Amino acid sequence: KNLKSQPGSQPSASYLQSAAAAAAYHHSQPAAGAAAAAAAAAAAAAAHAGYPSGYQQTHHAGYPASRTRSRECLAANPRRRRCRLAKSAAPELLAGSRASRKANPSPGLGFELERVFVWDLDETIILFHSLLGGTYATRFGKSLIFRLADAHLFFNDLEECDQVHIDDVSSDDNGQDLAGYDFANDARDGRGMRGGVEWMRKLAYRYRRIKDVYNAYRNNVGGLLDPVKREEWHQVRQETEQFTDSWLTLALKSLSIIANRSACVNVLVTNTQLVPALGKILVFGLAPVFSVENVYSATKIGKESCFERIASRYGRKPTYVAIGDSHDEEAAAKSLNWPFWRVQNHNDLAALSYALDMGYL
Amino acid sequence: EFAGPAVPYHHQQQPPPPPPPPQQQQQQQQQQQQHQLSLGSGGSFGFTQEQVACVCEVLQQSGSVDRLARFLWSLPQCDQLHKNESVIKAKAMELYRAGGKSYSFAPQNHARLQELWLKAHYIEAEKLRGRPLGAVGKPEVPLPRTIWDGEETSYCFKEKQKCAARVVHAQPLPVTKGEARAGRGNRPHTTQVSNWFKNRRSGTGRVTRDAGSMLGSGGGGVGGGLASMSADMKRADSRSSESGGGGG
Repeated sequence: KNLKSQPGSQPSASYLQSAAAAAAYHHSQPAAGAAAAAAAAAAAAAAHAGYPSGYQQTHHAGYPASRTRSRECLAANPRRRRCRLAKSAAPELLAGSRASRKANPSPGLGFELERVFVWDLDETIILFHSLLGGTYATRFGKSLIFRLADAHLFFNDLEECDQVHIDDVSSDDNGQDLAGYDFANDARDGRGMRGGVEWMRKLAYRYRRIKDVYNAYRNNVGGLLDPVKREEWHQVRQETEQFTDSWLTLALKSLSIIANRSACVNVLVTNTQLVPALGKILVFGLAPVFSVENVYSATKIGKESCFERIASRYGRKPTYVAIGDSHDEEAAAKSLNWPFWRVQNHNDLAALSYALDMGYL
Repeated sequence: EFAGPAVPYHHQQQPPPPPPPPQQQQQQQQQQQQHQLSLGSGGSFGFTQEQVACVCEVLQQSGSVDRLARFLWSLPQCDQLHKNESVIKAKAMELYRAGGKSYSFAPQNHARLQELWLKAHYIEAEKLRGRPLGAVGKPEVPLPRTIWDGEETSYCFKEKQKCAARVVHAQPLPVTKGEARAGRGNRPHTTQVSNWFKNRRSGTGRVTRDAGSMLGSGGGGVGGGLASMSADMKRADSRSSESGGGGG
């Protein structure tokens, strides 16, 4: 609130937000804490201050050239590979990124996690292939997701830089204030350098900005879209529900019950790349029930490794439940002795929400 | 505890072998059945076997014994469902753990829990033997104290039940009614009780003498005793032949 009232002086808005978010890693419900409330306010302030207006205009200007250069750079960059090896512990396990050590950490929320529900995305929560076929929703839905990911989530820059988790490069971040940062033009001064540190830092900035955007707009995706795209978005949502017989609404029932419990958490493990996955989550209104730190992409390491990371992160105390439609999830769950809830039709989703409602799960 | 409405314990149906419970329990049951039906439209909610197994697994892993019990009792009496290994394992684990944690179930739930406990053990025994168990082949399985009031049973009947049966037998009322009344208040089926009476009657000489002396009947002297004994024997013979013909 203080930050919002003084638009001129926002010393460390996004800094504080990412710090608070970092400190909230091992808490299941960031939204429940005062720290997260402050984080959301800070993120909103940052967004209103420098973000959409200034950014969008310069966004497309420098892209094509910088994009090619970045690809070459990344492919040849030995530091990137070295970095990956050095970061053997998943960053979300650390108490916080370098940034958070500078800011005041938020106090612990004090409750113990009892259940971790690990969801698959495609064909479990969102149906694309099975029912939608060649409808408006499919064509425009996918296009909307990728356009949003390009416009707001640096998908063009990051397409070749697959991360499993939003914090995987956070150790390269230096916590610099990103309020006025020029993402479009930072390519011009140094991305071509082979030193690598610069590039990693810029990568880290992008992921931090993605987190800011996600947290700022998770309950107001319309705010990210211009009126034309907003109309498209409404149509996509409406048609999706119509053609899938309200599948998403049914899935959201269970997701919401879990999200509203302080001792339970929703985690997502998807075979989509991280950035487009976040785009999908935003477009389909799933952001309120999934924290950005609870989204994992299994494209590079597979579902089983993701599940193992999640198990390391939350420890032995909670009971884990995997929810999915395919053998992938089932096999991964079995390898960790996690119970598996198969979702292949509406009844499976209805039974899940009934079991949750009755307190059986 | 998670938020969620409490589901009352209930038995959805009584399968043939256990006898129908006494009057009050029946009324409670009916009320609870109606409540259960009102929860789901057109009957109770149906989980698939796999879903039941998943819930059992989750509740076992989290050690939620009471929630597991509540869930299991909410399931319909379906043999197919209950033969699922996970479900049986869950039930046995539930009771074992309950025993370990010295959590005692209420006496009115003992019968059902003992049934589950024994069923789980019989299925294990069947697996070991590789063939189904007969009525006689069931192993003597020790019951955990959490679901058992400690009373010994011999030949499937508790001492309490036998006393009740003896008292009824001594009454000069039509035997069939008395048999039914004795049977209703206890575990064994009326068929079992009737057989018990038959067996007692077939050792009649000993029995009526005992019954007479127990009641301290005014018959008194040896002569009267002998006379009543022979009369009883005749009555018993005719009755046993009747029931032998009728009951089969």
